Amino acid sequence: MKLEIKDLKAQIDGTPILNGVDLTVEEGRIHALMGPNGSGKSTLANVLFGHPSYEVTGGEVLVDGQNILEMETHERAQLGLFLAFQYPVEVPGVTVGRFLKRASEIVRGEDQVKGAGFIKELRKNLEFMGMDQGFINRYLNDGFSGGEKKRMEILQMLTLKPRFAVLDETDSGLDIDALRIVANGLNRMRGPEFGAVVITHYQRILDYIKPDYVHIMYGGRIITSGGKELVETLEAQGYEWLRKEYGIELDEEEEAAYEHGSEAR
Amino acid sequence: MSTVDVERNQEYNATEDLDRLVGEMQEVEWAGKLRREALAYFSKKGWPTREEEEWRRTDVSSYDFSDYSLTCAPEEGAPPAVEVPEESAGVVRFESGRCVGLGLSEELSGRGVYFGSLQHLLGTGRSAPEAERVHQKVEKAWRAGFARADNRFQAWNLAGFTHGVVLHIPSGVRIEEPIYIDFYESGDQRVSIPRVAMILEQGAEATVVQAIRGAEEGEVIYNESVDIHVGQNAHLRYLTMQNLNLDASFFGFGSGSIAKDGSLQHYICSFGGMLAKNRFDCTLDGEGSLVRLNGLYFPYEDQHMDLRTVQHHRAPHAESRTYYKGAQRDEAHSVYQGLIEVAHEAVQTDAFLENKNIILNDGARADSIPTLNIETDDVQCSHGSSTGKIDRTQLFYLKARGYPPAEAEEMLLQGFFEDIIHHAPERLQDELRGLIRARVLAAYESDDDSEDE
Repeated sequence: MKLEIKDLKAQIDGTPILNGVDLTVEEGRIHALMGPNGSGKSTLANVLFGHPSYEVTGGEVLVDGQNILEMETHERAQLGLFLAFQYPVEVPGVTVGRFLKRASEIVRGEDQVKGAGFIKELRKNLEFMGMDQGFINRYLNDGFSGGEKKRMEILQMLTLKPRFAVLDETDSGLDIDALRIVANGLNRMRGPEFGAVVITHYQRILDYIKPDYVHIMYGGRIITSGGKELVETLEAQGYEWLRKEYGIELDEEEEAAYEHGSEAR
Repeated sequence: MSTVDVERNQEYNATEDLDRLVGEMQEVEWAGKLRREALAYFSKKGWPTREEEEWRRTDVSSYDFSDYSLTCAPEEGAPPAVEVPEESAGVVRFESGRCVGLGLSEELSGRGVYFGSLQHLLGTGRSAPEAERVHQKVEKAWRAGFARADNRFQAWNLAGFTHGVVLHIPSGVRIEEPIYIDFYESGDQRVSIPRVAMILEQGAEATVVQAIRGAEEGEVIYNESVDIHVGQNAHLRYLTMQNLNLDASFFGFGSGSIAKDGSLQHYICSFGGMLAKNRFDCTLDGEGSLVRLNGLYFPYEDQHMDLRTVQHHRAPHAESRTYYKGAQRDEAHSVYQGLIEVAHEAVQTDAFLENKNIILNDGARADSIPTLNIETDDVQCSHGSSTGKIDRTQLFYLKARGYPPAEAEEMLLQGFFEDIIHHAPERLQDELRGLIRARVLAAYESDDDSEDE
């Protein structure tokens, strides 16, 4: 699967957020997308999945040459796209098992999802994610802690087996153990038929994921791209370097978080 | 078999018809007496009007009740015995007012549980001698219920009931499997008037599941009365599901009294009727009693549903929880009115009432009116009400996992109602989920353009 984002522009309530994003992701590759708050990272993720609050004002998104902006959200998912939500939604009354079984039938095909086999697979995935088996019968995300919700997103990804995933700040708010588990989840998906964009604020998850490419987003555009060396430069010189190089301004909270992140390593 | 028919298009002459009815039924004296008392009330009380608060949003003035015939088929001897199905303790089935089968597990009859058809119980010389002791209890429960009656439907029921069932559970008998009560209505321009009485003595326990279903077409007025008495430290779970056709009208009035440390878990699932009026009025008579009233309603097309609950606290340290949930679609209109009433002596009452509605499209409507009437300071009482649309973030989340819009909406509604549905026995759960599914999908089938986004 090849995902091509071409000159994508989008707005919310008349305010432009994406101002011409260009990005191509080939299968078998993991891309990291970094950048400060408000740079448009999460908007990009939401627009890729057709979130109703955003209006696309230009450009196109091609999956194997087909423009998915014309498609409904569920059709994009059925194509094999997966979004790990920054803020996973609570769905009271719907158990994890029931939700994922039906979702798997829809995206993988009913013949691929058989009762006993499916539950066995789900149990294995829970174990892999370090989650209690009791989660199968809990209502989806209802009363879950922040970390549990993030693990649940990755569990869903492992179970639904998408061809392409966007992880929207799945690492934020996680302690180091949870972070490692989430990264392991993504690494397990890794292979010649899987591509991903990992949206993150911080470099630390990239120590575990080792992306093939790194992009920095600012002002609704991707302003620079590179390989692992870009993370290394960031790590060594910080966003201060980006400020000098590209005029990126961070808010106080981000600066503090970044400083903290640098010191922690 | 003889029948008593009130001819169609003839003025409903209640007195004359009831005289004939009582004569045909050959009932025990007290029942006839109670019928006549109810008839006196019926005669002096008009049909409810919109002047009355409870009926302000539910208009019955367009009904000409004389257009409907009351038919009664007196039973000859005991109702046909049927085998008790697996995973149940007893079963009774009525078809258009006639008892077509009744069964109770031998073990329970052996332990003194009475489960019988009303006609059989009340008919002179027809009921078994051991049923005689039940009479007094039933009369007491009915008189208590009638004392709280305030409208003509209730009087109509007590004066003119033609069939029904009585469950009496002696002290200390605990019934694990559910008992099923099925009403099936067919025909046209008919009135069906059943009564249900459930009396649990001290320490008794039971689960009763009642279903009211009917033919796909035909105008039937179904006017039901349910009386419940839960004795000291006794526990009753009672779940009732109503799915009559959309030509039918449903009127259901229930009352319950709960003694010390007893509990009642009550569930109403309302789907049918062009008009469906429900009221469950519950009195916490004993210290430490516990009541949970749960409701699920989902009107669509041009249905009108009106549900009312009353949590009436008369004893100290009692707890009550009401939780009613509705969804409205198309041009449907629902009214929920909930009242928490705490008497002066009911100190340390803990009462709560919540009503939630999801309106699925413009044009549908939900009125929600919770009320408190508290005559003592030493209580903990609260109520809440929310009415909104389907949550867009939830919808997006499900769609992002591949769920098409109709299925996403269905899953969310199933989830919304799940905390009520999961209390039902499994086979009824499937039926309830099927009804919810059908109502969600109907909108998508009738108008493909209505899909979100």
